[in-house]
Amino acid sequence: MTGTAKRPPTTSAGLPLRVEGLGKTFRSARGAAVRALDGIDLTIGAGEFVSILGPSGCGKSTLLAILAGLDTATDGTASVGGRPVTAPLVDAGVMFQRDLLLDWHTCEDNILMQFRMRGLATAPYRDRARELLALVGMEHAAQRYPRELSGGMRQRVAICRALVHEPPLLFLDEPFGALDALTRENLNTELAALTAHSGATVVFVTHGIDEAVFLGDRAVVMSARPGRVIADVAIDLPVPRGPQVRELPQFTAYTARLRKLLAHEVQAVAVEGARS
Amino acid sequence: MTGTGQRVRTRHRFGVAGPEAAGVDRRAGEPGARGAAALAGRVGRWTAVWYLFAVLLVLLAWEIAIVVGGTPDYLLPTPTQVAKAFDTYHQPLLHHSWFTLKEILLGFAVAVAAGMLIAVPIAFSRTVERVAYPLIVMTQAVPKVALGPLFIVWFGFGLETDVIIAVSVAIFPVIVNTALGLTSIDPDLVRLGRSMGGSRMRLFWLVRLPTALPSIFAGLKVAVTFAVIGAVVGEFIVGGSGLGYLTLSASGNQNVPLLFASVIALALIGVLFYAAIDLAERVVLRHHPQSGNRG
Repeated sequence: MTGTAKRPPTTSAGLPLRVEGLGKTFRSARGAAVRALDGIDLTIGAGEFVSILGPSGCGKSTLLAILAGLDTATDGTASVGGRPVTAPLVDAGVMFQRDLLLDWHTCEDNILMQFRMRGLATAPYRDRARELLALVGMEHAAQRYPRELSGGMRQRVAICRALVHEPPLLFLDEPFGALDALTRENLNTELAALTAHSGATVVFVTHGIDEAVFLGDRAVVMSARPGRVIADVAIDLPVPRGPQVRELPQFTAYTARLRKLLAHEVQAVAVEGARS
Repeated sequence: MTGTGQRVRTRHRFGVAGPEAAGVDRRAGEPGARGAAALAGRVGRWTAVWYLFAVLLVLLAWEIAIVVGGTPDYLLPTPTQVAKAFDTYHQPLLHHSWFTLKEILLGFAVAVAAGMLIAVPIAFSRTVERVAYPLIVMTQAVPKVALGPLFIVWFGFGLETDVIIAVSVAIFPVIVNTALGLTSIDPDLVRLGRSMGGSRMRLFWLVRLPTALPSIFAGLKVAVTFAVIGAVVGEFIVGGSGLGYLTLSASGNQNVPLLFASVIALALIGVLFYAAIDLAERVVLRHHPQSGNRG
């Protein structure tokens, strides 16, 4: 199920991102100061797809939230297109692990929430919402309610919602983390096709090594808490990426390398966990 | 196309009433299970027949028990005598029912409007919550019956006093459930809304309020039964009008059949109000998942 044969949506070009000396400390429930992120430096070019990998609790979701303007950094700066991020970036598309579809709206109306939230009329965008649904093979579901759909189908609707306003930036926080392996691979292929043509800059947080390599132009590996960048691997695989990419020897080499880097960090978390 | 239905079970302390709240997993491909089908299942023809049968059985047993057992009818009348009382006293019964109905309606409406207006600032400000909750709990701890005489001094011997008592009882569940519903929203949903450029106002109307509706309706159901109790308590204290007064006066006159008729009329009004809220809930929440699941 891919949308590659159909006409992809056209989108304005992506925006570059820059992170300098970014750190985040927050107070835990017990009042102790917890350092979540420390000294993060990252430059992401316009239209680049960057996967961010790291062990659970390494602050990668926090980093994404700071980039999207949904959280604030304690020190350092994050800027988008040369401007510092101080408020939620409204020209971004955001996806979380949970699809967060509103149960009382049809799929189409859920997608059009992008415009209702902005106080815009939805009628001019209805066709575009349908077009996107068709691209992910969901044209039949436009008038259906989310609870009638499977998890994978719901997440497809969430993808459409994140793309419908043609954002130059996409922030994806483990969007496929709760899906089964097969659905996940299908959605990876669909997302690859959609983002390749949209030109948006994508930041993709995951702990799936396979999908990080499959989707990313680069994979950034973060350490256990406090999260730091420990490796930045350029992924040189043919584009556009289809399912056959997974069978290439380079693909396996990349995943093996990342797995090694991560294993070390996961071990660090385990030691930390045993101590506390 | 496969997929695991990922679900987050939000805690509903004042849960959506009913056993189905315990966690019925609704699978995909079960469209509209809540709406029409549930309605038909609940008040379907056969269910109604069984209800009627059960009631008739009880009435028959009651009648026989009194006739055979020889209980004096000034203590416990037979169903036939109660039926006769409905006929004989239909005028005062209708008159007082109408009065009580008005009180419940007014009391419930005021409690809902005021309760929601109070709940919104509580839900949105930690400071307001900290100040308001102790006050609400304190006022709630005072038995309303004890306040009756004070309300009479303030508002006189009319409908107003009964309505005020009904409001004072019914407002609490409205405040608590509305505040709870408005605050028990998935924080990621708020973040998503903000990333879409949603203002606080638009987030409230488009996301927060609809999300809170199941909890609000649970509160309304409790509130409507409380409004009935409040109105009757008011009538007991104030006197003069309403089914509460009629019951009291029938008791004074040893007219037990009228007393029974009056209580039954009251019960019917209570059921009517509850059923109305229940129906409204089914219509409004026809697309909401039953147990507060949010995928």
